[in-house]
Amino acid sequence: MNKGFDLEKKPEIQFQNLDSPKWEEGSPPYSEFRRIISVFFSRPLPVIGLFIIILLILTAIFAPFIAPYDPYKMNILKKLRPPSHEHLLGTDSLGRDTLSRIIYGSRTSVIIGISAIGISSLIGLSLGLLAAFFGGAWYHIIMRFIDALMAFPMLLLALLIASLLGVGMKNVIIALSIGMIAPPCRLMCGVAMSIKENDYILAARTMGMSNFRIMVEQILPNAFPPLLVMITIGLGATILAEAGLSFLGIGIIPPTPAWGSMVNDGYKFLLTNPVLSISPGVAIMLVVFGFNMMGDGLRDALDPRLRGVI
Amino acid sequence: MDETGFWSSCYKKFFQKYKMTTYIIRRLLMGLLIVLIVTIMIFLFMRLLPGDPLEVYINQSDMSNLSPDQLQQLRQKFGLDKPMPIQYIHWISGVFRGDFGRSIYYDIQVRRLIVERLPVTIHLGFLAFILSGLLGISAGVICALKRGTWIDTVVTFLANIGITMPSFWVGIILIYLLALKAGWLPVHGYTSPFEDFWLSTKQVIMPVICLSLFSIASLTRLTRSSMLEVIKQDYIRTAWAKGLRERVIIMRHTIKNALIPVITVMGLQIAFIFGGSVLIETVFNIPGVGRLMTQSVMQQDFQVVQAGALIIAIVVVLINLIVDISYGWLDPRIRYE
Repeated sequence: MNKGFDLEKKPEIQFQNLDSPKWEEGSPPYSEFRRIISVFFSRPLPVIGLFIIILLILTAIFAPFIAPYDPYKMNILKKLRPPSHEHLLGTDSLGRDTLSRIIYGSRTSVIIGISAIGISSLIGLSLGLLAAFFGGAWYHIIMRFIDALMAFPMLLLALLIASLLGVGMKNVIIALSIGMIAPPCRLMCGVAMSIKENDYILAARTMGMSNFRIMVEQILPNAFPPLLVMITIGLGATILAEAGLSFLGIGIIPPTPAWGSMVNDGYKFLLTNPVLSISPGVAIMLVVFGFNMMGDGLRDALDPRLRGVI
Repeated sequence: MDETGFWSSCYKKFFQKYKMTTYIIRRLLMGLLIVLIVTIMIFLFMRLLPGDPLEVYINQSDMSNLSPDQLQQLRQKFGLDKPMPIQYIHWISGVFRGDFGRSIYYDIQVRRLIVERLPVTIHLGFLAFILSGLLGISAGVICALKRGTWIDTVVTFLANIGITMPSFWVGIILIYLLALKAGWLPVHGYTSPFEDFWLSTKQVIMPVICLSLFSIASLTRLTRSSMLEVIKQDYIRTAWAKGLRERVIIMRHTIKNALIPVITVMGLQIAFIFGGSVLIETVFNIPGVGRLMTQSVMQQDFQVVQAGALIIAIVVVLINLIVDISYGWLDPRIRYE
């Protein structure tokens, strides 16, 4: 008898998407978007990150409704109070409610973070795209400029520009945007150089597409996954840098609440009221954690090969 | 005889023979170019500052009722009367002679300020760099080797937390816990290790932890993922299959290959540590280059900012060069071209 081989029975071939943890009956056999979503939501940390970010944005939008007190209202009689029922995180040296100031501080962080990363990625991506697409002199000039930007600490550069422009939220945004140009530019350049070699670019060129259209319609969408991850993680880094700047007392004009300057204000009263300095730092930490975890989750969902690159 | 062919073959032979040397020379020239671009950028930034740097000097030395003639003399003393390109050339040629100009705020030679402050930052930065390299890489390797166990979970989580904490805030918490509450370490200050080694070590502990925290955490994450990537490779399976000892596989085949991306990032961390020193030296009241730069930026002391920027750029470029050269030792596939 032929034991091992049963020629009558046909082997069953199962197409299974190995990356997708949940294989649902009736779902299309291959949907990139569904796969990304299911990978992203299958792990706890990215979901926690997303939750924190949604919470942050809601807090920033609805700050006046959430905050228990007016963040600018001073009350000298109630200064440096420890946490109590009345003031959950105590009051600062001018008697302002710390919790309300942290809630309003989220606005500063969100506005500066989003605008700075937006401007810097816009500039950085265009420069990187130009450098990679045209090569030659373009590449050398842009990359030497980027190398020079990277040879100088980002925080010091932002400090320099912020002090050059003077105080104000707009100037902090400009300073951080210039300071953050290098990473998106280098990433875009690297990704675009590899995409450029593909045959579909050649095809597009044969069809008579203009250089601009090839860059915008062919290269940019294909470079999208790593860029999205970089921008998410970059948002966290920008918020950290903004906190550093406002900790040094540069940029944000004093009565406006900003987490970094709140840490610095509390530093003087570390012995009397440590919560004052520690609580804004926890807020910074949570937000940056949220962005980092979401970035990691997106990276693993979009393209696990990017691990270590970004 | 085809003469051009002769010369180009000569050049090729020379290039083949001294590949490494020509590579290093070319990289050094490129580094020089980058340093020049940095100085030009900083120079332009400082000169575009609104306000007259001389005003700072006049205000702080209480000479508000100077005649225009005396003002002109002061301008000449600090070289502010000439057009900008001439000022730049004057400054850069001074640098080659070891003359960085004169600080407007402190009214002493910038070189003296730098010589005084730079060793402090290098001392802290070097310790932080070594600590982050040692701890970050070993934690990442341990995580990757013990993947899935509780050690991996805990260390990875700590690393994820570590990259999110603002360094200045960690400094404040450390001061609160270790200095104010426990009283083990001095609150702030800096002493040279040659003066009082014990006190210096005690003062240096907290700043070095703060400076290296981000680097430790990010290197741990990077080493871990890089190790996991390498472990999957076929050559590791081959190494197992041919019966090599585990230690040899881990040390020679896995770690060495996994370190290639890690070394790149370590080079980039140098600029980051310098940037962090701006904050940390403010928190711990340490007289280093970072704090000098912060103060000088705010006081519009352009000579000091220029000199500091030049030195930071040189250090960063040199260390990146060393990193690039060390690639070849780690990965012979990389050719110096």
